[in-house]
Amino acid sequence: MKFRRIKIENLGPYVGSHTLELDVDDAAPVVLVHGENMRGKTSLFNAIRWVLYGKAVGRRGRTLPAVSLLSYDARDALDYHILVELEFEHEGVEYQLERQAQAEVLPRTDRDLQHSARLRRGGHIQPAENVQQIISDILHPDISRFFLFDGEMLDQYEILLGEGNRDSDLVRQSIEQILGLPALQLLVEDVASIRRETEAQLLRSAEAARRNVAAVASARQALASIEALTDDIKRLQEQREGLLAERDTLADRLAGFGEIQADLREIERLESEIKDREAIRDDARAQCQTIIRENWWLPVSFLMRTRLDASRAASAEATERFEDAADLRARLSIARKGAERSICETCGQPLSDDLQSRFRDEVAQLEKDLKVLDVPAGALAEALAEQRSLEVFANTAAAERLTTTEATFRRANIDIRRFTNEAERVRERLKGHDRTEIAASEIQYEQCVRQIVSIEASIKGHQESLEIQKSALGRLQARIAQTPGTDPRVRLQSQAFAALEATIAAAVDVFRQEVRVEVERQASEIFRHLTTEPDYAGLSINDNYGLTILDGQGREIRERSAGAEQVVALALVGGLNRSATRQAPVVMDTPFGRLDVRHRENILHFVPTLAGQVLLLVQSGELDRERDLGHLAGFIGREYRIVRDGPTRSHFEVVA
Amino acid sequence: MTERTRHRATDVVLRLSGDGLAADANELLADVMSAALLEEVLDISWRHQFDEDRAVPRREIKAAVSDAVESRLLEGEEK
Repeated sequence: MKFRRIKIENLGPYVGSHTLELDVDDAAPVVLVHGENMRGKTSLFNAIRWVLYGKAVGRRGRTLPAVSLLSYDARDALDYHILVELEFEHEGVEYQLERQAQAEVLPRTDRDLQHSARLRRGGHIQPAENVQQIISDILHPDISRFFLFDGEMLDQYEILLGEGNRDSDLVRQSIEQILGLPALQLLVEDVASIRRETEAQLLRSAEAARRNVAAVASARQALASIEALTDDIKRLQEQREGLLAERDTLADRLAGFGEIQADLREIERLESEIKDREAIRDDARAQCQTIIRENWWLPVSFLMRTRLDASRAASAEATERFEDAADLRARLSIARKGAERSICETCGQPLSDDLQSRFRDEVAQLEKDLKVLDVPAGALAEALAEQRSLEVFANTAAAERLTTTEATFRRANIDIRRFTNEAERVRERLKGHDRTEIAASEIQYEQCVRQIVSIEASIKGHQESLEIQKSALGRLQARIAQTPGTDPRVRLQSQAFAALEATIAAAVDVFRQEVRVEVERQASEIFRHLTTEPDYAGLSINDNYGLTILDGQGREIRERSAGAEQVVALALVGGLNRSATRQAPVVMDTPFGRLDVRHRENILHFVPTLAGQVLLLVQSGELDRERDLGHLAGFIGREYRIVRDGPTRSHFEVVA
Repeated sequence: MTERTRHRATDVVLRLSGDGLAADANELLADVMSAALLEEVLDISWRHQFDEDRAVPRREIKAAVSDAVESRLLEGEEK
């Protein structure tokens, strides 16, 4: 398989139609695409994956809905269609694969999009229902991860190649698929099926000879049981595969609901905040009402305070005048005595006329002053009474409490408005998403898992019964075979197919082991070229094709850096590509992200040997054109740059 | 690459060809289980899995395997 060109419309930052020529010859197999972060390298990578398999992948390997691929600018221009067209050659035949997703109105989920895929083979349009099968025959999606290689998801290879999970089983199966195991495995199945048919024929022949009738009947029964059990096991295994695929789809869907669920949780949080603030607001309102009921004057408190201040001033003035008047009266009494008597009351001496005259003047002045100061009777008492009655309004605590409570009320109202607006925004995002669909998917997922457990138990039971029946049949066949009268030719056929089945079944395990050793050898050889650590001698491979670094003494190096992880993964990809039954372009997105200079140089030397066509999608942080391209000198067939036209818009440009 | 893998698979089967025979297998059966037969059936399966016969229905592939064995038996008997 070799890509000729790709056309992308309205996918990611590629607004409108963009075509990239990809055809290269074996001497210069590298297509280099430079692009800074957020320009559209991963969109190009996803365009290739989507056109081939109708599936795009986001960070952490999660499936991206097609609706998320639609260009923002196209969306703003009310143009709701995505198209990717890939032209490629495979085994001398030209193919044109086109995939589209479109909608009349703004699509919110993939259900709002109409999907279609069209394939021309050698210029002839293929039936729509065959398109995916034809693509799978050329490059099966299960093995695509070894050709479409995302450098930023390398940690997943390590997880995938671990033990005991569905994904590692799938990867192992896909690796074995590209290594050719199914040719032998299916042959074993076919030969076993023919053998059972000849065994049935043998029984008919023995029955015809009218001997060992009972043994033939038992053998026939055993054979029928084997046939039924084999079919049942196969059916159960298919059911299990279907359920496992359904479970994975549901898991993907649930993961896709992650953002929706986060939004739903956000709405719950906001609704709870709103409820809390409403309680605070209602409480504050009730408190305000109580304070105002108990302190009715508070709304006019400033008037009351003015009046009280005036009253206090009036009382103070009245008191002062009253006291001054009392003082004047005392002094007046003394002055009057002095003016009216000729002899001093204290010493008995006569008072002079001059002194008496001064007493009289003082009396006149004091009487005058007293007249000015004179406070009407009861005026002081009245002023004090008014002050006392107004003093009750001097309670500032109530006013402060009211001010604080009113502030709480206002703050709660502001918060309610803010949270309500936020919730509205989140609800707007959630429009078109059904909460019940999420709940239904969760239930479906649980049901699916329960069914898988039940089917696996059933398969195990069937397999045990099958072994018992096979063993019984073997014993009966040995007895029948010795019976004179059975057709020797049928007996020979039966033995021939049994021998063929046994041989090929044994070959499956040996072949598996040998290809594994071959992958290990190839990966080790590549690894030794790529690694910069002289003490690393190679790699050892496990049953799931996971690789462990070995040092010079053959000891396993368990701990490895992110960079070493990347080198090991690349070595595995290289080893598999060299050992595979299929040749396909290798597309590598951000492959040098975690590598130091020397590892990068080593890998750049290795890349042109990786496949007949290698697309490298790189950013300047991992590959500097001036500094690094010398290592690829002569191997670059085409070179492009992704140019930014705006925050959500890019185009390709040929690098001269 | 496909050819190399195919040769390796054939090589494995040929190395194990004697193992499938029962100890008391007769001369004709040993003769039938020849390298030529094994190569032929592997070739049928390989073509079906990876090459030009991918579109051929599985039952026809099975019939072809069955025919190959039977014709070898016939040849052996004629000898």
